[in-house]
Amino acid sequence: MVFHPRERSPWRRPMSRREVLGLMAGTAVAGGLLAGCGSGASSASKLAIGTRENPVEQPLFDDNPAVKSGLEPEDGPLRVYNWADYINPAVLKGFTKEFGNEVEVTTFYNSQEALQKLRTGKISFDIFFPTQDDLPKYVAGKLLQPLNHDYLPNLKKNIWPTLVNPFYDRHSRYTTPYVTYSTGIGWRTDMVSTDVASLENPWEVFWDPEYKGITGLYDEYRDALSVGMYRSGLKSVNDATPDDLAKARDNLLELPDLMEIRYTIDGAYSRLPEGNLGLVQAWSGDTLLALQYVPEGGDPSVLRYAWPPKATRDKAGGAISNDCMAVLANAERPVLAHAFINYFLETEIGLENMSWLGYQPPQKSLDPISMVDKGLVPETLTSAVVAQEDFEMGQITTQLTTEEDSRWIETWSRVQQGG
Amino acid sequence: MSGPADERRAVGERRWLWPSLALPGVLWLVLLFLTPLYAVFAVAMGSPDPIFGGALPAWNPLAWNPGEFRTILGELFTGQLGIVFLRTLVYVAVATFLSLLIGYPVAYYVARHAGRWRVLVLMLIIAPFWINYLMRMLAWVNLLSTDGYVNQALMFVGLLDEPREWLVGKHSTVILGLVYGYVPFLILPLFAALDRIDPRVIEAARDLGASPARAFFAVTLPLSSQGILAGCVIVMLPMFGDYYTATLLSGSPRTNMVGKLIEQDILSGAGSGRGAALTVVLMVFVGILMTYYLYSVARASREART
Repeated sequence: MVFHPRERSPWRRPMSRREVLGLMAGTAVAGGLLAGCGSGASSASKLAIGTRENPVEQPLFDDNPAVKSGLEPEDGPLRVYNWADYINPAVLKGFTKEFGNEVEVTTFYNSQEALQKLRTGKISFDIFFPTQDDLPKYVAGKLLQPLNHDYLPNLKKNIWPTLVNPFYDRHSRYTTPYVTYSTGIGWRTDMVSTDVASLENPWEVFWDPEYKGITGLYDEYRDALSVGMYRSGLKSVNDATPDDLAKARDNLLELPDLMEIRYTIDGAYSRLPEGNLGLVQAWSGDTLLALQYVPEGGDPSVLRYAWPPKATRDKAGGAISNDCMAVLANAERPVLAHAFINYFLETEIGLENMSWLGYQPPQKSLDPISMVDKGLVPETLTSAVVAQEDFEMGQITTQLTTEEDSRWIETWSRVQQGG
Repeated sequence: MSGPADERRAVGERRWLWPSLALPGVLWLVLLFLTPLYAVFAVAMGSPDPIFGGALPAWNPLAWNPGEFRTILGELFTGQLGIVFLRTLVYVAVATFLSLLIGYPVAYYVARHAGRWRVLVLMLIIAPFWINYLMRMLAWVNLLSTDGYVNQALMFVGLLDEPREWLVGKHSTVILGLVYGYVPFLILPLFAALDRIDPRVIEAARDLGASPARAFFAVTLPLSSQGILAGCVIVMLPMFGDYYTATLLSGSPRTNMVGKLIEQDILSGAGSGRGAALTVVLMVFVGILMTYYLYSVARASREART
């Protein structure tokens, strides 16, 4: 199945994961296909896609102003549109207690689904959770409203400076960070004797027949094809040429027979701690979430995480990303929405959310060492905590052009055809 | 003089009346089947939205762009995609055959011998539907894991010496999943067909000296052929589109079915045209197979009756 990182990972409760899958079975495919039906030709002009080398300011529009300063929050309920199971319900209750407003959460399972629904303009929510790579589309479609920073004192106070002024949205015009994560390798020391982190090219371990039958990659085209490129030493996955993609394809096509590879959505947070898999591609947040999935009597200290390739002076390192919070253009309660975002940027609230979700907020006061000291993360998984420097060195998945995207999808389909 | 005219009018009214009864059904088909089907076709013939990444369907036949179909047909006839179609076909055929092997005796028992337990047994057959299909498949993932109950049980009774790795991309596991998931759909129409057979017909065969086996093969089986046909079609069609059984029970490209390829194309933005084209190709493929199948079974049952 195909998902964005966020749409699948944090299924905290088994029941909920099943609900999600169940709903997906019924709705996602039909939704994804029919989503195309309502849309006419795009009226938007060019997208402002930022990269680390070329940061961008997202455009402002006269007919889409930010909310004025100095207003009182509106009466609720606050309506939140979010990925399924991507927010700690306890945190929402805390918000209700503090502000006296109910919060209603509506969920989506696929970013394409969310985009198409919001574009109809017929549904109105206050808060939305876009990913950084999708942001340009939402801005171009005037689906988000600019933020009024007067309502968001916690942004500058608590958040990493690099994400207060991120390359994809200079001056945080439309978004604030929600959680951040890297994409690396998770493994169990009781099933994998190699010290994966110390290998020259750690990603090659996925081609080591010693671990046949216990390896898994994410069932997601950008992530999985990247592994195929890393194996050949290709590091910059955003500007892959057709040749690079062909190499990735050929590398991945070796895996079904050589390794009995499995493409899963729950490999890192569920199958790894349960011992069904021993070596998986993993988002750092899934790796921390895995701690909650260790079966009774299991040993969480066997879990490890590495984040290759290492950054060099001229080349960015492994993949890293950031998900955002934003206020929708047609929000009925924009001031309350700002209050909600500001509430989430509190360090304590971000941590409470992480304790349920596994994904960390990019808070200044949190770094790998302090999180280990506070007992929030075991020492063996220090590497699964993202530090601000990591974010500056890592490689960030950016949106591909439609043509490139089609090429990636075609390559991925070939990989999934096997043989 | 007026008699024949009245009669003609009455006949005319009736001519209008009977077809009009089909109107709701026709409207239903047009609204909920043909329109979405055309939408799928328009997406397949369209292009990706350059800004938003979704599909820009080509509603106007003059704007059709058959590029995606060319790609898919190319992969089908010269690439690996043909193998995936063939694999899907084999999985579905084997799983349907096994379902029939399992389902027929059950349906036979319920229809002819269950007596007062009949309602209860039928309820038990339907009971799994109260639980979501995917949830049941996830339960199988646990049961089939290396130290799961299935391996433990098989080793306990001595059928296995060491645990079998069920979940590493085995064809047998996927077929097992399909059979498990769809067999109740086959039992119900079979039960209905067997239940309708007049027991006196079978008694007559026995009275005329047929052995129980002969009576079954000469009378019961041919009389239930419509039920077999309906049951097989009912399980085969959703199996052809199944995209989650293999994903959950295997996750290996070795066992992927066509449905999985469609799903991953459609859910990834710029791939919706590709996915829609693949959907249409699968529909044609299944359509041809079903036509042939229905035709040959209909002929066989006609011959059996004469």
